[in-house]
Amino acid sequence: METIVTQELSRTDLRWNIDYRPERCTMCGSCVAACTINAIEVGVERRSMTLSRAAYPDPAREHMSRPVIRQRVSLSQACVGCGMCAKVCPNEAIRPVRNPDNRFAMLTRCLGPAKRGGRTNLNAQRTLDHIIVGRISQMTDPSLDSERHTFDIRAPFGRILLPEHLPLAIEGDSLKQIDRTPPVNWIYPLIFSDMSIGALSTRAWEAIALATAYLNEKCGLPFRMCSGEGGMPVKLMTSDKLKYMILQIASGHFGWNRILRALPHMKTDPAGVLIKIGQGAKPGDGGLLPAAKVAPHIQAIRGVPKATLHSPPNHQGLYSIEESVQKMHLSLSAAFGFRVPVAIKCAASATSVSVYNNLLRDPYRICGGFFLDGVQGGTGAANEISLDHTGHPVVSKMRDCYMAAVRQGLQGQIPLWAGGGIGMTGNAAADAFKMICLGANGVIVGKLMIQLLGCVGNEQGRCNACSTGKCPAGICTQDPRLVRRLDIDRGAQSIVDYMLTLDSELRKLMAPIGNSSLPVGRSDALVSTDRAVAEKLGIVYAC
Amino acid sequence: MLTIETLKTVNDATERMSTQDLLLSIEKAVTDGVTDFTIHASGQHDIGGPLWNTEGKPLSFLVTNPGQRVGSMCLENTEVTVEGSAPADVGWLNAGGKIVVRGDAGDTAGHCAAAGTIYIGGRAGTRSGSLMKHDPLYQAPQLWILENTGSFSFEFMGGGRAVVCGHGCESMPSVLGARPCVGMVGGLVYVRGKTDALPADATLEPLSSEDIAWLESGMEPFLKAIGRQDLLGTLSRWDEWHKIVPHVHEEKHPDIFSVAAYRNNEWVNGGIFTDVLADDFGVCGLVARGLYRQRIPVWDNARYQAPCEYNCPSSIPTQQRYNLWMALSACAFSPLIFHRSAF
Amino acid sequence: MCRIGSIKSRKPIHPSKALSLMLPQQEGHDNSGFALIMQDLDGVFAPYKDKPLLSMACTRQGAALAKNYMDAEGFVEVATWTPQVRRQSGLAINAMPQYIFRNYDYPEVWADRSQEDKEELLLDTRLALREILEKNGEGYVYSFWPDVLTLKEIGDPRAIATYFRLWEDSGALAAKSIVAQCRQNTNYDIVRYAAHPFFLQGYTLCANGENTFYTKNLEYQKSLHRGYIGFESDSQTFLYSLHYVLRQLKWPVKYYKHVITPLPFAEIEQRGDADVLTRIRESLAHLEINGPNTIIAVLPGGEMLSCCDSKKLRPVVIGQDDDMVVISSEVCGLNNVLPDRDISQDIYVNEREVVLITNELAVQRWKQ
Repeated sequence: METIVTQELSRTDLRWNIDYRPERCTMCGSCVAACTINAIEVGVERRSMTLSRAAYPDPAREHMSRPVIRQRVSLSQACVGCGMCAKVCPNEAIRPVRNPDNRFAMLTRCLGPAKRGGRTNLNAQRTLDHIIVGRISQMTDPSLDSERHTFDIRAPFGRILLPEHLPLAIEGDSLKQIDRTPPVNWIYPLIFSDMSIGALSTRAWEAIALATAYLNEKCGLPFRMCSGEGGMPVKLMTSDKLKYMILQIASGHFGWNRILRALPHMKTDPAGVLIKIGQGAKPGDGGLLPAAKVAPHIQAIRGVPKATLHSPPNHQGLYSIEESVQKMHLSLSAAFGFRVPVAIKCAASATSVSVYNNLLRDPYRICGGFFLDGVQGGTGAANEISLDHTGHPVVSKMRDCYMAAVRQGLQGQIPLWAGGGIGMTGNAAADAFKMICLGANGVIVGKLMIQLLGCVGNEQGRCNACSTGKCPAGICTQDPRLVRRLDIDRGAQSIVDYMLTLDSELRKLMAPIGNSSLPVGRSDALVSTDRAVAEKLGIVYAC
Repeated sequence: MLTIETLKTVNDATERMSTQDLLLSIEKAVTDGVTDFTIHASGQHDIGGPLWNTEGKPLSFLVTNPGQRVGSMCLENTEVTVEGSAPADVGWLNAGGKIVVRGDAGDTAGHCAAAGTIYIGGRAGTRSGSLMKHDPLYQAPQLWILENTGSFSFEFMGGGRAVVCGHGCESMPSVLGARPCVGMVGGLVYVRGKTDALPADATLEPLSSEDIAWLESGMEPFLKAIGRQDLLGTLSRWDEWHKIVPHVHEEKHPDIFSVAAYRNNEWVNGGIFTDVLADDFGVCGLVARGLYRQRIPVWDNARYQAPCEYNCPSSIPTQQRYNLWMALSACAFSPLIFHRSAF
Repeated sequence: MCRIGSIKSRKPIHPSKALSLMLPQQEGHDNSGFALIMQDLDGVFAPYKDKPLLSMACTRQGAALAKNYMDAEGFVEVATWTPQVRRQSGLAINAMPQYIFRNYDYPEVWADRSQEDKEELLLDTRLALREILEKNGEGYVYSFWPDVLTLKEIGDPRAIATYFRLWEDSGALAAKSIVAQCRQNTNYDIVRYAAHPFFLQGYTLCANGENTFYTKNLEYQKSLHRGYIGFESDSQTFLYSLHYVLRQLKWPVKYYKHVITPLPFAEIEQRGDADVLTRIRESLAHLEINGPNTIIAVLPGGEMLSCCDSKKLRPVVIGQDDDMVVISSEVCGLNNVLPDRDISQDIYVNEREVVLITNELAVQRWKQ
């Protein structure tokens, strides 16, 4: 028998244990074949049993070797709890079980800072679940009918001017627009947000793009998708579907060579440009794409060799906030002839209100939106320390920004979009609606999109293997064998179906408060069952 | 015959009888056997129903300046005639009465009427005819309007027949206002003149001979009640009429155009990444076999070998293959780079 | 909801006309108050049409405070009219000790100032008086403007009419334009300021219904203009939006409707003036109203205007004869004051329409 010393890594140290029931197992091997982490293997166990093999009692002690499935004891191949083994098992003989007594966090750091993808596992508080849409139209004013009335569910992306700054002249009894105004696109108040080609597999990214186009062309819902910071597929840029896309530029500037070279061939303008300054999941840290995911097509689109790609935490060449506003916005606006709105995305932070105030003072009228990404935002890869311990909850921060604008009479001038945890529990419509009542013009969602494609990750440490290139759902990987697991049509269809329901759910929330256009800033429609939340957000406490 | 005045002057001030006082005095008179009333109202609500003579004699009301809900909850054998216009909810929940408004009716005329007849000699307001119903035990309700209705007319209509004659409305973009018949599930609306676009719930259709016969039999009594028999000829040109018919429940499920069909027919041809990556969009299960099996080595021979060696029909010597594998293993991630190979 | 009504007439009319208009609509309100604004005055105010008229209800102390302020600012009293109230027992009215209607001359130093400057002075004076009285709970200042009289009180409109002898035509009170409303209107606290019509620098407005975008409107308007204060009623925001669009932005009157009930985006896109309408909807999103409302307004030039919310969730009808145009929540009100009018001329204002009555009583209507 092997000698085991106390410092030896054992199964009990790992986050997930395999619960294997040999009596149900038929040794088909499906679980081992399905596991992308290689966390389980076929092995042999010695058994000693007393058996009776005759038609009458004839007990006899036997020693046997039995083939079994067992968990590998390895930090790099530790089970992530994705449950593919259980999903594929025809006999319910195997499943991962959370191990609350694990020592993984202590042990895994011997390999250097732990990295993973997905979402925070620590700060998954649900402020929005303490808020109820509590001001229902009863007697004083009529509720609307969510199925039969018309609703204007649209949000601005672009710089909006104060009425006294509008270039309108009176001609007779009419106004005429006599000068240009900044471009503004009125889009659906939920953006499919910012997951790059590279972080996502080609199929996952294309499925979201496909769903976006379908929702626009077949359902009349102007959803937009933001490309993320990994560039854009050339064929999409030269098609008329480009108009549904918001192009992102982050500190790494990946893919912009192909974007610029596609300019002369574009049939239509994109919906917008989003400058990413920071990301809620890892504020103060730049983009990170592990080499495992830098496949040849990613190398081509991004213009880099196979290597782990780090982006700097800030844009090189931006010296100050004024610089960010003017230089960055100016360049990107200029690239598209000032026809395309340009917005900026920051990680929510204690400084967000200062940043927003600076933007609101923007004398160039060029900032087309302020996107706030909270601590519950997702990531393809980040240091675990960043994911769980840096960032800022988005709900109160967005509210603070809105109220800062209200105090100056500038609400709505630079649209506020917020994300990070929207739809975490699957109810994106409720989350979006509450954020809108608190002052957001719209919300951005990322993790929800991949969950609709089949991602099994959650905030309780399940899977979150997006950084490894071994995504069991073929979503966050570039391994063609895994990408092949993802059915693009089925994935896009489930996004479409979800968003159609979300649209009717939004109407189900607007109708009872008697509104046919979005109640941006209508905080009187909300009550909170948590006194602290009510006080912080300036809404009514109810119990 | 009982005449009731509802306004009187006391010390310069005008005093008005409350709705409650008026309705109680009418009720008492009906109990006492009065069947004919003239009521000079001043905005009192609910005049006309629900009332009945215990011997089944018809009740008749001639009303001036009623308030809302004139003729509401009216029962059979009750006839209410309004000289001039009436405000909202004329004939609300009409359960069998005959209500004639010689002038205009306000908003939601005929709202929820389930029996009886309502005649409007002028216009009807917003949401008129909404939620009309038909109780199969009784005759279907009728709502006749000489001119036009306000917007959102016949919302959620569930039964009965409405007739909008569009008299004098030839220049109007819609004699039914904007967004008529939203949520309509039953009944019929006959209309003469232009209408706004109909929602998916209903369609505009030509009249059948049965429709024409029904309209012909009803038009004359209607025009007589409102004192406009002169219009019979004008309003009987049946080619100027249409009817609005709700879709039956089964018709309401539109064809579903799948995303898969969209990708094949309308999406960027072949996919958006074909310039950098070939993908036939085939799907593997969690347990893949053959080419896409997870645990077999990935050979990058085509990329790293000389073409002659790679294409050699007799394959390559075992020790060279072994060397190649060793070399590739040194690069930690190379197994993940997948290229189609001869193996 | 409350019932609202207004009369614009060629000849001066007495407030009892407004009472007759509102009387048949009693079931539509809760008889909790009465308020009216009279303009283009006749009777005792006829000689002072260009002299700012202060309308105020206060305590004796409040009257003294106001007088001190006005004297200090250099305003010169020209005339005062005090209603001879009927102090009859059992009247359901919550009366103030004093009602002051007083015409002033501008302070001497303001004599040569521009009309615009004077309008700012009048507003500042009213706001200052309001603050002084409010601080000590000594009364209410409703309007301070030439040729405009405001009367508001809490109580049963019939009792209020009796108390102020509004049914008796003594010849003192008469006007060619009256806007009236029968409710101490608010879903919030009982405050005299909450009763509409409201008045601000020549703009009068009265509305019914619930403003579901009240919070949005209020949060935006608070920083727009110093006169946008109070917000005791959710309908004040309609007045402030009207004032802002017409007086501050100086936009043509038709854009008021586009601001408060913008067209859906899909419809804007079909229009020739899509650029202007889009800019307006974008820029003034926080002045949109989204509930059930009917609005009656009087513009500084004397024109009367009416429009509704975009779903037409409140009633309104306009009737007319040769001498008078009357706007009323319900037709039974019209029937009482204009029984012999031609009803085929009645206008049922729809959800997209604006109706404007000129000083010549010409009725203009246009689609938004």
